[in-house]
Amino acid sequence: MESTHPKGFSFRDSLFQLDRILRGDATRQEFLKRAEIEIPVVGVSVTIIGLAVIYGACMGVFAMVRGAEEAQYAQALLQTFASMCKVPLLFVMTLIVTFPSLYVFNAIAGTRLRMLPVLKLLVASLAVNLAVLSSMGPIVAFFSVSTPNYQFIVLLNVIVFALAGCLGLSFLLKTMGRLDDIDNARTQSKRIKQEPQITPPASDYYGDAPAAPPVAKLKSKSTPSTPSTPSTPSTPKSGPLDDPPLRKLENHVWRVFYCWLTVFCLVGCQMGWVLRPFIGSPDTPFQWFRSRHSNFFEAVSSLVFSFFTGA
Amino acid sequence: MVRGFHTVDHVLQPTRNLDQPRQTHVQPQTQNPFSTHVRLRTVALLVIVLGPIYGAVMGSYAWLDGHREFHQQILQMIYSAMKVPMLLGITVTVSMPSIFVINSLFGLRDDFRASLSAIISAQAGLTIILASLSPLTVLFYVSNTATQAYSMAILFNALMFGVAAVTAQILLAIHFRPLIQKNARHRWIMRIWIFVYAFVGIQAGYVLRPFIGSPNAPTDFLRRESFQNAYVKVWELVQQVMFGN
Repeated sequence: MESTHPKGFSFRDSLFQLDRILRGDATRQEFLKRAEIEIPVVGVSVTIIGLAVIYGACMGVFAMVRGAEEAQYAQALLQTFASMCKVPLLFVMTLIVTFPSLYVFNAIAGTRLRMLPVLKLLVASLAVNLAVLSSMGPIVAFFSVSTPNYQFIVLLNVIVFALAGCLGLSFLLKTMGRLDDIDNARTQSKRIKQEPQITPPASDYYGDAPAAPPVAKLKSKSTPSTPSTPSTPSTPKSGPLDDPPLRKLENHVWRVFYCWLTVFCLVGCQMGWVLRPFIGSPDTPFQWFRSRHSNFFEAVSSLVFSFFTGA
Repeated sequence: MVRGFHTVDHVLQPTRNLDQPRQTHVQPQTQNPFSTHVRLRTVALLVIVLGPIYGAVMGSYAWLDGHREFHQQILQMIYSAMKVPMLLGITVTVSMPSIFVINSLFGLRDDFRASLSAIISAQAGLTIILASLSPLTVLFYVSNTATQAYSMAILFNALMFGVAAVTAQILLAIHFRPLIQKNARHRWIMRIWIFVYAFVGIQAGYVLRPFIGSPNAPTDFLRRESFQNAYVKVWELVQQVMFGN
């Protein structure tokens, strides 16, 4: 296995890292066994910001096209620039607001992940989220060019954000599930005292973590009835969204994470609401931020209502 | 030319090509079901070569109907001929990035080229089917002299496109079959693709109007009023029908 941590930042390497996350290579059981997600935080964060800027530009297409129609080029450019700044800001702010609670909840749930791996996990799931989001950017841009209806574009963007968010969060949950499985495996390995056979993984800050045996070996001895893991090089190859091979997750772990997920979704939605306008209504002049009133859910429900009733 | 026909055969009957090596007992390593016997570029070229056939026929309405001379309608025919490959090209280009990312997330990146090949083959299939339907359209244009002939021509073309699109989806399923046999998750990729493709394709078709060209309207590449949303328009129509406002 070649080193996955580059010394400096390079564009090609950051794409390679993103690809590893998307393929699920970065979160395979072999790596997670070391309680580590092998991604460079800085490199992937820069990629995330780049993807967010791309999606922001796609969102700004609506303002550009409408601005060009009404010959208000300066406003259109400003709105596009604002969108390109705000989409990365939305994710960075959401990360900052939710990271401490994820770390604390994670510690309470007892998955034994340290702070840096939790941050890496969150960054990886944001990378998935933004890769999906920006991959749908061309669809949004295409509809923005050909649709004068503001409400349709807002709803399309909300749906696209929701889809990307769901995939990003399911990546987070599935990886958490894998980590928890490994944790269970560790506890069992302690119980059946098989440590002497295993060489501990080379890790600087996990020197105190108990050594994990290869999962397949452990299962063959302790739980012979369970099927073999899909992370072994058998076909078909597993993706990052696949269910963890062992489903022995304790209920309280999931309860804690579902609570955290709710917090994350609420924060994300509300952050989006605070940072609006992202698209820019054609009826109102450009403004960096709108006055604070109402909230995301009320606004979306009234938008859906007005779209379908034409009111 | 021969290679072109071979490609057409492959697009329409991928399984026949796949079965051949099995019957002749070729070595197992050459039996890779995903080693398409034709190159992707050749299949993509089919869209560019065959797409304009139906487009040109579609745009010949005012001429075949007797409203205009050939030299008056040739521009519309060229426009329509260009628009069919454009329509497919835009739809596939816009939808492809999301399918690529979803493919990776489902752990199917290694098969992406094979899925891409299936998708492009289905597009080529669509143009082949449309080209094969073009004599029907010519006959309809020439023989139809009803008072609402233009509206009927629009409906007839919609029907032809509908037939071609449904058949192309069947072709897509045939091309995806070996992939689905390898990994059942490809079925989801195919479903997601069909959804995204239809969602984008309907809007692209709406924006690229006029394809037929009304005999009473001047020839235009795009209509100014075309830049509307197909779904919003449909919803407005539904509202008009249901609530009468």
